[in-house]
Amino acid sequence: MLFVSLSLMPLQNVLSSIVSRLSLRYAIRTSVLSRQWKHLWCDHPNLRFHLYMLERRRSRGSAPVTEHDLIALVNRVLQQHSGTGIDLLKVSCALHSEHPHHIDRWVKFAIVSKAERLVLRLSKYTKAYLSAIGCPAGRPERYSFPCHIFGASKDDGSYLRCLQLSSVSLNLPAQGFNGFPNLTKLTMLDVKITDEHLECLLSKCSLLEFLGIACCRTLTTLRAICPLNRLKHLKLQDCRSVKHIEMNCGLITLEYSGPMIPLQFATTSSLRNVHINLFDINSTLRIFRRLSMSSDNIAALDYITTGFPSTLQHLETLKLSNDEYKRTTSPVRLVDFIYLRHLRLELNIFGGWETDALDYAYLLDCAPSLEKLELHMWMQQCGHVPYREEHGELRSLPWHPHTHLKSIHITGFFGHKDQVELALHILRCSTMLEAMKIDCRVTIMPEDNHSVIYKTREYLDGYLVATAFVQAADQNNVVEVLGARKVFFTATDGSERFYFVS
Amino acid sequence: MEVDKGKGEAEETRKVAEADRDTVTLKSSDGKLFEVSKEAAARLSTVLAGMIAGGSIDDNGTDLKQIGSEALENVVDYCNKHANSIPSAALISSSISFNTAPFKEPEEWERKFVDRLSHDALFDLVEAANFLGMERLLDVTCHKISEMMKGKSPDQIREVFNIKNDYTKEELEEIRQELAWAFYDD
Repeated sequence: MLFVSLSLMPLQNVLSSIVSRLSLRYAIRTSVLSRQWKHLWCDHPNLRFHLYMLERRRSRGSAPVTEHDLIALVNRVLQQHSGTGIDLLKVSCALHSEHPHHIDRWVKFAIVSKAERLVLRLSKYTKAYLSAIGCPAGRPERYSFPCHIFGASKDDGSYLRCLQLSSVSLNLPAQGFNGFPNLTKLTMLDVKITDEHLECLLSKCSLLEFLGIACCRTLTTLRAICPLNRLKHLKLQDCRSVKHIEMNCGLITLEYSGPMIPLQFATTSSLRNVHINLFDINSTLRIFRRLSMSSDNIAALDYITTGFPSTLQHLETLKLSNDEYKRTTSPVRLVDFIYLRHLRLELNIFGGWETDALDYAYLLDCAPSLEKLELHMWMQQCGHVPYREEHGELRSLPWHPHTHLKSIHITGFFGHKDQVELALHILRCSTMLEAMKIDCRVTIMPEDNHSVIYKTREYLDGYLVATAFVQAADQNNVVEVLGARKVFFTATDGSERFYFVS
Repeated sequence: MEVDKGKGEAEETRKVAEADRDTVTLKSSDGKLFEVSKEAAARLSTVLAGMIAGGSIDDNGTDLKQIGSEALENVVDYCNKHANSIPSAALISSSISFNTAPFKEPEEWERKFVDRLSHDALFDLVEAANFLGMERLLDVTCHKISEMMKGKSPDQIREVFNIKNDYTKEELEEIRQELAWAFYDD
């Protein structure tokens, strides 16, 4: 009904709005409905192109879809598009330096149509692959992103708010580049860029709020001397050659993964959320790394109390992943994280007997406002000895009440003596505890280690020890032990028996 | 005895409204009266905001000749629900996530609100929202309609939305050829 009377009403904008909410393919399909609908899709704001869009179409036995088919599709759609009202232009396809004129034209289209977001993902590899394997041998030269065409007219880069590039190379022209004065989000994955060009680029993106850089192996320093007052979120992942970060900004969120390097910011007083994943990149096989362990490896607790986090007085959330080779050295000074509410630790324990989980009880002392504690453990297979009473009395630490901790989640609990001691200490001290989940299953894994598969034995031992020693000490009914369950069966003599499965 | 519910309610609330001028009275094309919160009406509809600011609101019922009573009832219902709803955490928190959302997705209650409507009521509501310049309601209803179109063949869409195909066979074939990629599974 509505659509019959349309020609009489100014509802073309409504139809346009409806079509713009469909995916590009379904939007184009509406062009056959009737003449009134023919060109509605031409204002579609979200132009996403991915090779799989064509692959689904391929019938059995036909020639495989290539990047040339995608190039043809992009060209045909852009040719018919009105070139106005574009929010996003995104192309995901393995394209490289062989196709510069096509890609250049798309970038120009984005400029002319005042697109707010431009995404070029020119590699078939995923971030995880690029991070683990890096640049595959024999790979063609990357497409060079045409920074020079953003200098032709003064307005060229000014509509762009979000630029996401992957597997391109980025060279700034010596002159005539205006930068992206309104850019708020910039991400680069596997981008070939030098330290100098990145610093120059950042100096021309003064409204930047989010910067994400991953797997950019040519970078050795991330530096921004000129102030980036709006920059609040920084993510730097797996840029193996980066030795130093020095930014003139005050972040709220920081995500970093890589080796331990100096992290310098103009101010850290606004930093609330920090996620750090420390790993040593010198050895490819971490499982053997203990032999060649670098001397600067430190325990997560030492890093928290003496490293970068110790300077962050206003921290609210800290997530830290670390390889543990040795025991914490006794804390030299007391650090106070008075605002810390959520702490998540991921410990890949390679050190076996040398480490001591009970050391982490110290965290309760330095984070008096902590509400949620997560402790996830992975353990290199070494002597597995679940605690039994004949192993000696459990150690206990002085009782300091903690009045904020409400929720605790421990995984990888195999029932080792130090784990039991830590769990018991936290349980005793946390006077406001609402839930303590102890899971014997392992939920984390060092990134490049897929060789350790736990047998049900560790899980069952963890379950039995947790129920016998931790749950038994629970007076407020807050402890929940997970990872195994009781199965009842009736034996031939008619009696009820049970066994555990994990 | 059958009572005209819409009218009865409206008259009931009008007495309250006379004492308290926080509401405006709207009159549908078939003469039924509806009360709506002045604040919500001004916030959600650019047209009503203009009328309120310009003083062209009639205390005995502002005539909206283009909108039927069923659609107007839904509009008023929407305004009142909107006035009472608490914005979801996603909308108010200064998100620490790094994604920027281009569209504000309909909230749960808005989804339910349009889901219960018949096709005709939904289309009438779109027209009313468009007429009254209610951007958010237009967003929500257009979203719903686009969801109804997803996964349907052109023939199915024509049937549901009562669209007459005015192309010749040759024209249709030409369009399909131009962007064959979009039509491969028809």
